[in-house]
Amino acid sequence: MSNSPIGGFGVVIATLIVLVAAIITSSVDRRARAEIQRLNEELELRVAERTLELETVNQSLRKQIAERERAEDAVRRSEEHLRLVIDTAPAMLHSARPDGYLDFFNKRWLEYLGVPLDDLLGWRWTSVIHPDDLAQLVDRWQTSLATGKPFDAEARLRRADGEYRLTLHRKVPLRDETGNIVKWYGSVIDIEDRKQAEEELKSSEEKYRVIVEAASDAVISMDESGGILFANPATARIFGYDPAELIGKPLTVLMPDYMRKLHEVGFRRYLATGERHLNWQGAEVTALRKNGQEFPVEVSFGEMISNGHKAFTGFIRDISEKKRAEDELRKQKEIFQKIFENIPVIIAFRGQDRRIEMVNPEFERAMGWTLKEIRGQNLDIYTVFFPDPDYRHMVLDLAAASTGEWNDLKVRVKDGRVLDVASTFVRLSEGSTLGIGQDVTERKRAEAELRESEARFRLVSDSAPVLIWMSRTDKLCTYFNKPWLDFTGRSLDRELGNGWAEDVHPEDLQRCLDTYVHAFDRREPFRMNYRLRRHDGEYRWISDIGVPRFNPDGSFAGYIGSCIDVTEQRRAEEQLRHAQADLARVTRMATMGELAAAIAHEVNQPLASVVTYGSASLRWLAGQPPNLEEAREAMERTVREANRASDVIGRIRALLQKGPPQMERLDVNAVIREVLTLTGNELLRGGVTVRTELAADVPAVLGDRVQLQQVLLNLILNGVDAMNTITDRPRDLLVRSSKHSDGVLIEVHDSGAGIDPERAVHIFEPFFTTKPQGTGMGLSVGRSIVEAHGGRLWFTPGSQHGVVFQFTVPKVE
Amino acid sequence: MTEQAPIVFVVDDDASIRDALKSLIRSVGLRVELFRSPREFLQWKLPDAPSCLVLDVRLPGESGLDLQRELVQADIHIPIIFITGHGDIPMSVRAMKAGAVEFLTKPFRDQDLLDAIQVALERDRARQRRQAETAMFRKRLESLTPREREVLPLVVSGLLNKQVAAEIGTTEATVKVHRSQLMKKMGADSLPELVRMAEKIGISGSERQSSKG
Repeated sequence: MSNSPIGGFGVVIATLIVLVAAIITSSVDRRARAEIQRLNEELELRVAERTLELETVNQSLRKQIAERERAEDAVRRSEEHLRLVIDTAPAMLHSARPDGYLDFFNKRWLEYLGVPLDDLLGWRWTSVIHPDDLAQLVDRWQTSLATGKPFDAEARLRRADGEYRLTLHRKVPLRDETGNIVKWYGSVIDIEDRKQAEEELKSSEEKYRVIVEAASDAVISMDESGGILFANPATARIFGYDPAELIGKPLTVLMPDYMRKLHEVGFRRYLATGERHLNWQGAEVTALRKNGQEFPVEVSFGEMISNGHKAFTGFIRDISEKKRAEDELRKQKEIFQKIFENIPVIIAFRGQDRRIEMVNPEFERAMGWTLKEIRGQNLDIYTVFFPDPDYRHMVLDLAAASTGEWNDLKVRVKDGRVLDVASTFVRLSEGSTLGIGQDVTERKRAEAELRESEARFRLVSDSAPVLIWMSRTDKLCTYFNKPWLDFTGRSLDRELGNGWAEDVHPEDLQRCLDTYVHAFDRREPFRMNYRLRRHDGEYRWISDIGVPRFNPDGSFAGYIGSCIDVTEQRRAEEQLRHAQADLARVTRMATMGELAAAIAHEVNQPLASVVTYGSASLRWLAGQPPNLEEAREAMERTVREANRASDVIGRIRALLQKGPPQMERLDVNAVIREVLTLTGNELLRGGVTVRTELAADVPAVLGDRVQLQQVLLNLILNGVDAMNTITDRPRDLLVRSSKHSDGVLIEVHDSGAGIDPERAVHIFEPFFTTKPQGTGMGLSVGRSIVEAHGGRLWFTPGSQHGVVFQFTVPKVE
Repeated sequence: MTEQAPIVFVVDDDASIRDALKSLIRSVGLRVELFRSPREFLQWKLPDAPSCLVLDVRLPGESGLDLQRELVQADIHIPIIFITGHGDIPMSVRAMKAGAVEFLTKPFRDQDLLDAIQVALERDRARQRRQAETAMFRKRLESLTPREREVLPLVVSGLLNKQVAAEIGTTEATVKVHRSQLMKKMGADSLPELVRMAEKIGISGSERQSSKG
């Protein structure tokens, strides 16, 4: 191409274009400093593109050149003009031969370096390169020469002022139609300033990056479509998402469903109208964690425009903790507020100026003043609360001291009543005071009543003609009334606890304690008799009745007991017992009189045997020969029968004996049999058939044999008499014994005419009798005997005829 | 017929009395049987031997007097000696009226009882003899022909043969034959003897007349 003039012309044109392109490129570069990197790449790309374009253009130009030969002169003028342009261009341009020999530097270049052209041509330019950068620069240049690839490198150049400046070197080859490189054209740009700006930018970016990444708040950027562009590491902590996985996702994934629509509508409206639906400098909204948990956040937004597109960056702070703390505080405040309003305690709050600021509803209720009426009152109100000056001063001193100590104060309230208020004054740290009080008027009154009631009790107790004691739940005695102390002549201190036991007769003490403890443990009332030593040393019989005490709430409180001196009563009872015993004996003798015939028979019977045996033995002896064997046997029988007669007499004598009742363990059935033996003939004479039904399992009883026999004897003889007139049915008498809840039940059934109801009510009365020879004492005495034994005697009509007399005798404990 | 050994029956509820009586009665060589109650006694078959009953008045259930009445009603005529612990007069009168041999009060003299027992046994012997005689007469009566049995009451009522013949519508000669036949069959030697026999077996002229009248 260099051989033809057209080719030479074309090269000039191409060079021009390339240079222009390089200049344009440089100017664009400068303009978009901020996007320098990207633009550099673009530049490269464009250079390559242009290179291709140039080749196309080259070919079309060659076709046109012939048509333009006529314009050669004009062009030559143009070439001159171009050289001027190149030299005056602000870019540093140069060219090189295919072998790498630099053969041209433009004026700007030379001025920049401050070095004459001759010092640069060929390879001499290397002298202006910073020694550190030279080797790699040369190396690259040789590589480009060898490969024909465009040369591109950075290196520091020594500027005219001696300062090394970073520069960007570019060279592209120019090829002929066969593809051989005919020339290299290059440009150099001083990028020192740009590089520095880049460095600064990089450092600034790094700073922000560190801030954003270290931020405890989530920082999230999104574009106009709402897609997430960026999320910082704090996002992971707050939302639970890996920042990378959020990129490209809509921001709404970080919101609960109900917020999403709101956000989308608001955001679209903003984009359309610029109207904000939230305060961008801190709005509280609800956010959604990856795990579905909702939580409160505070959000601030920023907006920026990049490449004509809006981008938004949000700073999101998790305020759950803050919220929780706020809620807690609110709750506590509410608790105290509710306590203040509902507690049945009077509370008044005075500010530092001593004026009442707040009173609670209980204050209003108890004192009668409403908050409205009392708010703002200073301590002068005390003249109303405490009209007595001395008292008021005392209270004012207490209020001033505010020690927190409680005092019962008498406070006059609005309606003039005076309340008892347990009060205290408390000082708060900032100098205000709380007056706290409880209306204890009722309690005071109850206490006074209780005191009065106790005083009354003591008065009654001390003036009662009985001895009174009280014990606690631990069985120890805590109280003895004055009559008790007067009786024993001992001090209260000596009687308290178990001291009283020292006054009890030693023989009675154990039984006394047993009864007490036994009843106490069952909370049962008890009654016991024991001997208590009087002040004069005499033991007196005491009847003590103890009952459990209970508190109003039903809990056991101990025992209270009252005692009376029953010595005289016991003496009278003793005399009565003697009298009764005498009466019983007399009655018995009368009964025996009735029985005389039976008794005679009872004695006569063995006597008859004695006589008969005696006669028989005499006859056996008088025989020829005497029958000694039969005689001896008859004599023996004689003796035996004589003894039998003696026994009968002994029994009768026992029944007539005078003496105190002798209580002993008795078999009731044996007693019944003995009586039947005695009455057998009487029954026989009366034509009565006796049947017995004696239960084998009857328990032993405690009784006087003779007296119980008397009762039975009487009932049996009555039964016989009752059947005297009966001719139309058997005269049956049934005697039964059986077990009874009290001990033993003894029944005597007769089949007589029964008892006339009119007489029935009188039959137990003394001297009441239906028999011509009767004393009228039998049943009366019988009943008192049975009752003295602790039993009962009564009668019922028989099932068909007659009467059933029955009585019980308690078993031996 | 030879007489069997006499037996004394004792009924008393008191065992010692029973045994004492047994010893006493045995001492005079008499056989004794003891009973606790009338019921026990009534179950015993009475022997042909002469016997008597020593009976306590007061007994449980049935009294001695009740037993006496019962025996009479049953046509058992054993002689009874009552013993009692304390007899009263009305009771003894009642007993004696009803045919008691003796009424002794305990304690009694041994001889009194033994005498009473002898009397009772003798009485029983006599009774037994009478009973045996009567039984013989009855047996003889049974050997008579109906005509002879028809004639017998008429003869013992003292009618003459002629009157008897008119009574039964036959001849005097025929009556005479009947009469000698029945005298012979009955073993009567005389008319008075026949009358005595007829009385013993309960046939009498007056009876006939009353039935006739």
